[in-house]
Amino acid sequence: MALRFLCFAITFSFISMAFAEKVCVKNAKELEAKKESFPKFLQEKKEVSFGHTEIRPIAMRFQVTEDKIIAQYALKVAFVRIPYVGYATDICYDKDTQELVLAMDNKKQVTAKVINDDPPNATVIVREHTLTRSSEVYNKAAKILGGFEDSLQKTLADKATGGAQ
Amino acid sequence: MIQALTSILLSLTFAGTAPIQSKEEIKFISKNEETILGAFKTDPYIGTIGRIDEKREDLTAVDLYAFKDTKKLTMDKGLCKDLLKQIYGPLDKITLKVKTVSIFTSPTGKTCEAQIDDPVKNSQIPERRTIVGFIKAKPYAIEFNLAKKSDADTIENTRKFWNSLR
Repeated sequence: MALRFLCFAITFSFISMAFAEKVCVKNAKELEAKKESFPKFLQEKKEVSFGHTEIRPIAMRFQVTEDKIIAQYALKVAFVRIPYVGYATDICYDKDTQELVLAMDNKKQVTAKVINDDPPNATVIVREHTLTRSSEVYNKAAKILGGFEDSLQKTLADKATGGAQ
Repeated sequence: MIQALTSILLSLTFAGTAPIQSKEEIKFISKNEETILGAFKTDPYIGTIGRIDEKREDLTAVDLYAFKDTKKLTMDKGLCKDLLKQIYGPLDKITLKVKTVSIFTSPTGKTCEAQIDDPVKNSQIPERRTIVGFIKAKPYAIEFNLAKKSDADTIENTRKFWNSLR
């Protein structure tokens, strides 16, 4: 009986370890297949935006497309708007550590600590900056920074003017 | 009033010391002072220069890269590509495409100018223009993140800024 319990415990711990592994994807198709292993905000949308408005506004967006992972941000320091667009080869998530890691194609790794993965108010920390998915905060940051209009709104505007791609 | 005060304080806070100076009035924002700046960029990136009197917004912020000393002290295409690799990663494997690399003569000697295109449609930064050269015998690069494809005025503006550095 004790031996059977021991075997069960070992098997269970191996299974737990297997599930605790970091899961990585390269595109939207892979994300769809493994979405349960990712934060909720990436399960329902392939494009997520975060904002920060305290003192220095920041707008940040991750997009998992058919063939790419795009990371963008803009921030304003004093009078300077600093934009960034980069591409990642993988996006990985470890449910245990709640770390979302972007492996950029320039070989840099960027870690976002997921504090809250619930879409309406999801929150991540990137390099000491707390960024929230709350649309109120994001839209305020995006408005200050410009060029970061919500893509859904852009699509609707494009359709209205017949300019949809 | 509070916003104006905050803005002034921030300007002073982020007036970091640039390792290079310009004849233009500039403010240097170090990656050590604003940590998110260095998060996505490679190690040679040291901060962003703000050009105070520049009217075009996408020419206001200039990313500054400082490299370790190189064996060569004269710029050529081979050295330029090595340094571009340190900025962007392996050039043949990344999404961005190096369209042109050329050498021109600036007040600091032979200097490299690269046009790096973003092939992704509707990218916020469709083109980057990067100038790589030596200032006080040290290798540096400046990168402009353009909101639209460059024209002759843009190229002249970016070169003029490089020429102002010392």
